[in-house]
Amino acid sequence: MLARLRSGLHWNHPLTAHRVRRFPDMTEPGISQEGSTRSTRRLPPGGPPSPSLSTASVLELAALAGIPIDDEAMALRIAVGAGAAVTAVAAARTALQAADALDDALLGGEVADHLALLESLAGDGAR
Amino acid sequence: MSIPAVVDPCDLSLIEAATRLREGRLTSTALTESVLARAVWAQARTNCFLRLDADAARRAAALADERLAAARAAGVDLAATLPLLGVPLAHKDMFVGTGSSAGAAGGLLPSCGSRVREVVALLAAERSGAGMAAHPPAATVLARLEAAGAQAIGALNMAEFAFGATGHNAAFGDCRNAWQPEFVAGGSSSGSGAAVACGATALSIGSDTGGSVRIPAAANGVLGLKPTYGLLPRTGSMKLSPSIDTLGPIAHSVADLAAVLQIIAGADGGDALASRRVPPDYVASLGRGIEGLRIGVPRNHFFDVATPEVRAAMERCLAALEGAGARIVEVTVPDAAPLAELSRAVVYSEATALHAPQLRVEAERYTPQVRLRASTGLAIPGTVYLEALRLRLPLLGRFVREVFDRCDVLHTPTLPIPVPRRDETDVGAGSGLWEILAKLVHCTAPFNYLGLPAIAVPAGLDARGLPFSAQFVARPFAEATLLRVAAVQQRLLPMPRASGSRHAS
Repeated sequence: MLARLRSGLHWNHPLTAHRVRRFPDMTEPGISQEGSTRSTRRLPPGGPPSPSLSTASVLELAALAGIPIDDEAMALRIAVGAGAAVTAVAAARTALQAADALDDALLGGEVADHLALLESLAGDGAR
Repeated sequence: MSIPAVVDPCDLSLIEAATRLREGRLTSTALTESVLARAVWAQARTNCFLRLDADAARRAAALADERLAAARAAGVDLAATLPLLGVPLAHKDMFVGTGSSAGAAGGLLPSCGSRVREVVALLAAERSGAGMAAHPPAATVLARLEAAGAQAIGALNMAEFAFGATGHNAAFGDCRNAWQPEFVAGGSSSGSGAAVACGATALSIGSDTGGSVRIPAAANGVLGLKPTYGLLPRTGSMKLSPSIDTLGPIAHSVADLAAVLQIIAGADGGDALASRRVPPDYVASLGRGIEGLRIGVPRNHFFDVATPEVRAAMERCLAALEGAGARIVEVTVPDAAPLAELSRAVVYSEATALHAPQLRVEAERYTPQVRLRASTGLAIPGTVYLEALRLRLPLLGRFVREVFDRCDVLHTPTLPIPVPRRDETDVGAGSGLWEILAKLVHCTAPFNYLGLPAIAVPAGLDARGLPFSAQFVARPFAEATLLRVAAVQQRLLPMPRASGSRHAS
């Protein structure tokens, strides 16, 4: 990554700061040949399967947080609901290409930049 | 010779009523009595109110009439300074009152649609009485409406803690659909949708975290605007998921939405996540028409689960808009499928964090479905939550580039399915329950996650006499464009009132 920085990493937006200029040494957008296993690209559509928590794990987490859970059925519903959300995050991560993710995380916009990004993308130039 | 229809004052649009009040053609007392009578009717039909303070409403109306008369006598036009003077309104019961109004106001803390809050409010009152704690700040949106002369007369039903899309509420009774009470009102701003549809308030402020303004607006055949994240300050309003929550108005008339948005939009210094952009002139934009406007129809995701009758209704909509000069273009929407679930990852995590103190001490006072939803964040790792928030930046950038470079507004159904019955979406309804619940937010939740503005606009009635609704989505802070499209659609596809009265503005 440092090499890429030195070779002229280019942000096309000061806030998102997540799009890397496509360099010749990249065979695919955002993925460098160097050091990349490209394993994420082989994942099935929709993202990698995300193992749901067991009900026992949910019950343990609830106990740690001090939040009462009635029974295993409630724990199972929580595990299923949370599992779907976790899977979606994984799918989106895959869709955005994992190789960009490290740059995004370390150098990109902050979570709190959402409003600033909305403002920067604003426009009412509708005809 | 035709006989002009007699219009109940409560069926006037907000702007028309306010204009008549200033001109002396209507008194606030007459308007308020009409609204109160309609509220009683609406309550029996839909259970849309949690509180209605008739005495305070009458006192406020009498005071407004004195001020209106004094202004007329002095030749002072109040249109600029007190544009809503004498108009009674009711809002979702999730706002801290201003201390000088009735209902949700009156200094009361809101119920947030939950019995849990009774205890919280009691404790807060005790602390306040003992000088141990200050009240939370009053809701800025209510304070701004009040500063414009409007009077809050009551508080409206809602899903418990705004955590439900159907309008069921086991604590205070379900809010029912204004058109046919055996069908859902939609949620979570269920009372707002039903009360506006019934004419019990010309406009109501609700909140939208997954579709909670647009879904009840759609189910009840009225308009609902979810503004861009950050346009409306949320000071003094209940939080569900602060990274996603927006407030928004529900009304019959596009002009009312525009006028009220003008009043309530803009930073207040209290909500750190409110935009400091100066809002444009929403009212002036309404008359611009849609000649040449590009309306994008998504090829993917948003129509995937739409039923044939919903598709047909949307096609009628598009044909009407095309006839008014719009250009219809097809667009492929990037990353559409996971957006709703990404939204859930954020909402569940933040809601569990917010509710944890209460869940620890009185989980049994939550209704079962809401308790389950409010506990689900337990099982979402913090890293996943933060990743869901972080992914929002590139997803938003890509969405805006790839969609709004090709069109000015995106068109989808608000609800891809006909309005469901209450019994088929209630606890114990069977395996179909989850599928229906997922479909209710299929077209709305993605835009909460991204923070984009969206509006639900009535699009006719189905064979059962229940409303269809079209949703339009635009670039950040392009609410004026959404209101333009909605104004044209409302003109081309006028909607009757659920109460049987005709819209009169």
